[in-house]
Amino acid sequence: MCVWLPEWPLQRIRIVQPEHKHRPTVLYAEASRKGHRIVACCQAALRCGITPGMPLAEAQGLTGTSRTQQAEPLFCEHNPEEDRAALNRLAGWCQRYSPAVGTEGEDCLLLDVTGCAHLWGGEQQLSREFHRAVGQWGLTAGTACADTIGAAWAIARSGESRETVVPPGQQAAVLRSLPVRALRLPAAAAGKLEELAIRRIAQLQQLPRASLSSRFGPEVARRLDQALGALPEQIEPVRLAEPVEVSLEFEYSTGDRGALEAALTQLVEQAVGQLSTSRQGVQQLEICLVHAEQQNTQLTVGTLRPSPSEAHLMELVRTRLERTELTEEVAGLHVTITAAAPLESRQHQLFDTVEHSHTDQEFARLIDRLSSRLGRQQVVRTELIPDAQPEFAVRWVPALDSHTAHRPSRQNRPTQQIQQPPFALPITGPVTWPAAARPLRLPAEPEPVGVTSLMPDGPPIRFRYGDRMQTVGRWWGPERIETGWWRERPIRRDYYRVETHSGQRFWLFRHVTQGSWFLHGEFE
Amino acid sequence: MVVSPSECAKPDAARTGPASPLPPILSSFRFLDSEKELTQTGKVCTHGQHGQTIITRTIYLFAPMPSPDNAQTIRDLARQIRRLERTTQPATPADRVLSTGIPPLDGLLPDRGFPPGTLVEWLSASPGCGAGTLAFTAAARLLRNDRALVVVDPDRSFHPPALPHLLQPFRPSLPEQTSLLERMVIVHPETERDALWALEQSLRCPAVAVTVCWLDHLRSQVCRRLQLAVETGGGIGMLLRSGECRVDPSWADFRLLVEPLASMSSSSSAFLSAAGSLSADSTWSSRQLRLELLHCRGRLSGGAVELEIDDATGHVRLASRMAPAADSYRAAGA
Repeated sequence: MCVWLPEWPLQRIRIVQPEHKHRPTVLYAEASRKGHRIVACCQAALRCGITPGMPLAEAQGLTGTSRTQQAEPLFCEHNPEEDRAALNRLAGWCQRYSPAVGTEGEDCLLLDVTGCAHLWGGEQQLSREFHRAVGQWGLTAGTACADTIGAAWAIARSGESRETVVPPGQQAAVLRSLPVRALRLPAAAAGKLEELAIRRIAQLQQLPRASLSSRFGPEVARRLDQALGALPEQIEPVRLAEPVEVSLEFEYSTGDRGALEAALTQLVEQAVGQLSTSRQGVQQLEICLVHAEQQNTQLTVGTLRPSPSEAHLMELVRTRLERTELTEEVAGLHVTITAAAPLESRQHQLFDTVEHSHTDQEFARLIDRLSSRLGRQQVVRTELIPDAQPEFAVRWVPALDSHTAHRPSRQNRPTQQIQQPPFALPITGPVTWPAAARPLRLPAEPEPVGVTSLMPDGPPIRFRYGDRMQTVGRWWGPERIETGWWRERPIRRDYYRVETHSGQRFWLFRHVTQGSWFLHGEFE
Repeated sequence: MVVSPSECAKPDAARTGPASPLPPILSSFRFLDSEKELTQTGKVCTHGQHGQTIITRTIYLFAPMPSPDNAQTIRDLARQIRRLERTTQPATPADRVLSTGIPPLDGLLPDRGFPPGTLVEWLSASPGCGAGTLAFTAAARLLRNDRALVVVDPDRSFHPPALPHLLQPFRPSLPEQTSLLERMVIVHPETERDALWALEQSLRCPAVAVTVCWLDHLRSQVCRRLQLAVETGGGIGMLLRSGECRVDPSWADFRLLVEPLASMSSSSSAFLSAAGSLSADSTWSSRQLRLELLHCRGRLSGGAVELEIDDATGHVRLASRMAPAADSYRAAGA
């Protein structure tokens, strides 16, 4: 059975971002030196006048001026690697229908349903069930069941009907009326056939068989034979990545860190070696130190970017191991790669700055090292929260989690129309203050201070800081910060920015209900 | 009293060799207060002249020095200072020097900026005087080529919303410029050891443009390690320390002391105006501080500027020592 997913990149975007389902979708990619060009667009975008091959700026201009359509088109960057990965994942899902699922081209899946169809009540039922299942996600597909891969592919893509089942041995008859490009021919051969006005497969079959190879190349004859079943063809099944796990049992327990490290180095090397065949890098590594009696010790090491280097991973493991107390001797080791991702491959350009990618890599390594030794939670990025209470105005996000946040985009991305990438930090609410509104150092807990004030609700005149009395020269405020009763600890504070006679600045507040004063930070 | 020039120049000439292209060593050194008893702890100032510039050096005495010959002792000390100050450091080419974006600070530095791979110490004479604000203002400008800012904060009290223009792109004309927030990584080490380790790692990393760290206790060997690390990494290390560390020996390439300056407006007028009117324009003012270059490694240095930081915009400029117009306006009872 062949499954054809028309306009797969567009369909994928619509599934990944369901909130934009009803907007016209346009994909663009960087064409060498000419800026960005449109590579694919959906029907709705075509109606706006956008065509593939058009420069991006022109397409944006078109949508900017036309007021007719209600939805603004969604512009996304074309990402063939991601498309490919998604297709492979879908192939993995399709293993419920067939043990051997392969991919063909960029938008087709091949399922070997020989001996499987009766489980679903026949090929017709199997196709129907498949359409029902993928239809739930909003996917459109064309399927065809035939004796040969070539025939199924040709019929599925012909687009005549959504699901076709060709009875056994009938493919030759169905194929005759199909155009020659349904044979998966190389572009050169297809062009030559087009010049000779050979459009249908039937016409091709009438040509003398012996001359086919010499006139159009060997591929034509081979594809024709494959479609008709004269030549065998096999599906190359997609294998989903299996978790990589290696382990080692010691002959006798050891507490020697040198020996442990040497053994770990071997194991990590093995594990990374297994991954490298599929061009993947490690994102998370779990190490289990097996103890004879006590509970096993688990160590987890994460990386910011997928790493293919065992030396780098070992460095991280070593820093973790150094800080782990071994309560008992170790009887064995397990190394599991719990998360892996394909290595990013990027073609270098002639005038590319080598320094740039190098810097990026170095930075990722620094974050890995810091996080593995100090802990994930200690190496953070800042996320601003629109919260009035200063203690809660910042949230710390582990730097390892915000994997792509520090990927400086080098392309000139059009800013407005493109939807915010999912890794962008949310920028909501009033988070910009004038420069001096918040202190640079804000302790987690405000410190009670003794303050002299003229009036009960008035500004501070004098306060005690450390062992010295400070006299207030200038002050600004009060800034009332109050939170709702539904908070666990609601606050009601009057903040004053004060400058002492000597020119130091502090942030003081008065607890409005209790009248007591606190020092909450220095404008350092 | 005046020390003869030949006596001053001799040890240096022997060290550096005749072919060295150095500016002439201080032609003369004059000691003030040299007749004073050196049996007390305190400081002795020595003045020297280098071209037109008068350079002042201060010798601190931490123990009484019961020497019969004060002049000889001071002369020895002055010689030691000069040895440390030999101008052996070649000037950094102007295109490699990184401007801090604060023109008065640039003017204070011998190369008009920080050369890459330097350690800068910001000493704040008293808490809340504005050293951190200055350091981060400079740090934001020193970020270049998509490199990162790492903040090592052992106290966990760093509050990023205090930084102005946190979310704005550096150069708004280019959309690919990321904001300071996206480029900042904060490290919260739990122990002092971890803090030093994280600091060294970050300084050593070429992908980090600026590392800022609050650090008070620093042994000389550790400081040297940090200085070597930052040389390897090629970024700028900024240590924010309290003014008490001023007497500690340091390997930092630049030591800057920040002192608060009392504002010019009198307290009563400020009090009255602030209490009298809480209108929007009375909310923002500016603060003044004094920035002194205490030391610059391998260079003759010195000098101080008075700066003013605008509260509303975070802009740093030279202070005008006149009362701000708004204040006098308010003092007049308006």
